[in-house]
Formats: sequence, C-alpha cells, structure tokens
Amino acid sequence: MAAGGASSAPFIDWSLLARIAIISIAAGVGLVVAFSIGLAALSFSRSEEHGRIARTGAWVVTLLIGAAIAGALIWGLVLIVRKS
Amino acid sequence: MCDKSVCIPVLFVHIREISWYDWTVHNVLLLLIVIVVALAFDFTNGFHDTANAVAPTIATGALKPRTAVVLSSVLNLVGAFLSLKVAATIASALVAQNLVTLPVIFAGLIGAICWNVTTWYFAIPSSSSHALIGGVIGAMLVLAGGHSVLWSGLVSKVIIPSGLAPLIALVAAGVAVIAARRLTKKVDAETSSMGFRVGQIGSSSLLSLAHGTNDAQKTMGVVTLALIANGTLRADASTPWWVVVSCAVAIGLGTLIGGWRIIRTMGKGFTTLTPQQGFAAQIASSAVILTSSHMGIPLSTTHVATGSIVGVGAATPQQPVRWKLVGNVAMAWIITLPCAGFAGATAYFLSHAIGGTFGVLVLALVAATYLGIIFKLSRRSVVNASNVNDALGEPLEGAPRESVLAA
Repeated sequence: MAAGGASSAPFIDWSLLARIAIISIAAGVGLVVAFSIGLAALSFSRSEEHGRIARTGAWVVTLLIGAAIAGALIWGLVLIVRKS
Repeated sequence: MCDKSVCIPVLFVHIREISWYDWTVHNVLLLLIVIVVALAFDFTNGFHDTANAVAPTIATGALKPRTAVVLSSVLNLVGAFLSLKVAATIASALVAQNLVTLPVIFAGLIGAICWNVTTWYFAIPSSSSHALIGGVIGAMLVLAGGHSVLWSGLVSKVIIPSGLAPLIALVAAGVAVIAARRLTKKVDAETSSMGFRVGQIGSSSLLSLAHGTNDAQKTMGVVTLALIANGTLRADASTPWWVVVSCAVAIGLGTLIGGWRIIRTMGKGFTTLTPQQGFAAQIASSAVILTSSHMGIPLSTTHVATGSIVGVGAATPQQPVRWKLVGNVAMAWIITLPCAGFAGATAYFLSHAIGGTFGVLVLALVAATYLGIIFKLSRRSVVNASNVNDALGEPLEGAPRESVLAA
C-alpha cells in the first residue's frame, strides 16, 4: 500500500508518464520520418531524371538512414535487455 | 528459487507423515492446477492479441496471413525473454501479496480466460491484461475485502496509463503518418506502396517482439505470485527461469493459433489501411509498448495498437474511421476490468463454497464447459486465414460503397 508519509512517492507519477509519452512519440515519429526519408532518397536515386552525383548522394543517404534505423533498433533492444 | 520438495511430487513417496503428506499433496496439486490455468491464460492472451501485431500487415497484404502469424509467434517467444520489469509490477504493485492464496489466483485466471474468450467470440479487441488484473482483484475482494487491493497501484499503474496509452499512440501514429505522407509525396505510388510493405514486415516484427516483452510477463508475474502464495518462493524472489520459458512458449503457441476474428476487426474494421498507415501505426505502437515496458508500466498492447490504427485513420482525410465501432470497442475497454472482476469474484465464491481442491477442480470443469460452448458457437461463423481480409460491417462514413467492398 502506498504510504502517506512526506517522503513517499507521488500517488500518480506524472513525470514518468510524461517521459513515456515524450519518448514514445519521439521514437515512433523519428523512426517513421527516417524510414520515409530513406524511401524518398531510394526512389530519387533510382530515377533517371536526376544527375549521377545527385543519385549517388541519394544512395548514400539511403544507406546511412538504413544503418541509423538498424543501429537505433539494436541499441534500443540492448538497452532493454541490459536494464532488465 | 524453487524448493525441490515442492516442485517434484515424486519425492513425497518417501514421506511417512500422513497428515503433512496429504496437506502438501493438496497444495502441490492446487499449485499445479494454478500454473496450468495460468499458462492457459497466457495461451488465450497470445491468440487474443495476435491482431495487435499482425492485423495491419495482413490487411495491407504486406505478408500472407499465415506467414504473418508464424513470424509474430516466433518473435513473441523471443520478446518474452527480454525484460522482466512488468512481471515485477504485476506481482507486487496491485494486490497485497501476503493475503493472496492459490484459489484466489485460480479464480482470477478463470475470470480472465472467460472474459478473453467471450470478447474473442464477439471479435472485440479488449485488453487481456485488464482481464487478468480485473479477475485477480475481483477474487481478492471476495476473499479479503477492499484493503487487500493496492488501489493506489491499480490507479497509478493500470487505470491512468490505460487511459493515456491509446491517446499517446493515437498522437504518435497520427503525427508519424502525416510526416510520412509529406516526405514521400514525390515518390511514385508503386515504390511507396512496396517500400512501406517491406517496412511493415520490420514494424510488425518489432511490434510482436514488444508484445512478447510486455504481455508474457504478466502471466510470469501471476505464476510468481502463485509460487509466493504457496510459500515456494520468498516474497522478494525473482521470477524463476522455468516460469519465463513456459510463459514464453505458451504465448508463442497462442499467437500461432491466430485470433482471426480480432485480426479482422483491427485490420478491416476501424478504417481501410494503406501500407504507409500500417507501417506508421505499427512503429508508433512498438515505440509506446517498448518504452512503457522498459519503465515497468504494464500497458495494454490492445489499447495501444487500436489507438495507433485509429490515429492513422483520423490523420488521413481520405480514409474515414468507423467511429461507431471505435466507441463500442472503447466501451468494451471500460467494462473489461469490472466484468472480469465480477467473473473472478464469482469463480472464487463458487470454488470457496464447494471447498478445497475439489472446489477448484469443479470450477475448472465448469469453465472448460463454458469455453467448449463458446468454441462450438464460434464454428457457426468461422473466420480464418482465408477470409480474414473480407469486408467488415457497415460502410465507412463519408466513403463510397465501393471502397468498403474492395477492402
């Protein structure tokens, strides 16, 4: 039972809930944005309408974003496993 | 750790003290029944919640129904091993551990299973977690009254987060899909559709992993509570490895069965999903579930997944949402805790009235009969992998009839 003393934890830990909300929204939106940029870059790199340098740049962006997404997922899972 | 004299009934052959022997055998039998029923609940949790991870993937055709379910099953199994924080919350933050008895846990589980199977029959994506928590609390109330329930824990760790979780998921998924739409507006439709379908395989996998991480632990928490109530474990003991393994396998097998009725509701009921929407919804759900699981808050994955699907629908003007269905499902969420609580309380009252291990066995038989009847009724309108993507319900408000028929 929650104690009623001055040093007890708050009845509802709003800061924890706010942290969950902020991290969830940031992570979710961030991953979708990164994937969408990667997809747009991939589509750009495959289009014959653009110059070779621009297409190569788009390829690099695609690869970097792919690596970033993979890295973020692996880091997240490692974090969960190590802290539990 | 598990005391071998309790865990291995064969050893009782060597024990000559008859009264102590009888008492222990009864206790071991009761403990075994509770563990089996807990794993049965975990199994129903798996098939009830398969939809959370795979419904958008199946609805958009990113994966074939069977393939999606098998992939989800394997990742649920893996996810169950990743974290134990939620198990600790379930075992310690909701009821007074020193008052919990095995019949209470048994009755709570029976209440939760009955509610889960009933909502599955009606294709309602309700929360298995709330059914479990409601069932155990209902039985506790009959046993020991209101002081046995940690109301502060119930409000702060279950009710408030369960109200906020779908809203957070709705916002995350809505913002994500708007951003995705703007970022890919110059990408041709075919490439975009193909790209997000491939992405959905990854997002569905992540969501299945998140589900295993979050939901299998709830049963682990209940089995741990049963072992503590039986005196097999100390109150501060951690979850034994065999509990982790058995719960992981049970939820994996349940997922493998595939709760097609609820998959259909979530994939085709709320809105007509595109691959882009499905991807955004699943990534948003994964982010919410993994974050909350990491911080020890036992969220309902069903609430989160539903919130995300509704969020992407609401953020896309061309894809209206069936708000009437959303309202009905929200109503089911609200009544899940009290209904499962009532079922758990009734189950405990009946088993206690009959008395002892015999009462528990009779109740198990009654529950099995009820489940058999529900299963028989469900055969009248079978939903399976072959018809899970068929159109569902009334037309979407504001949408042409054709789009519903095409869904």
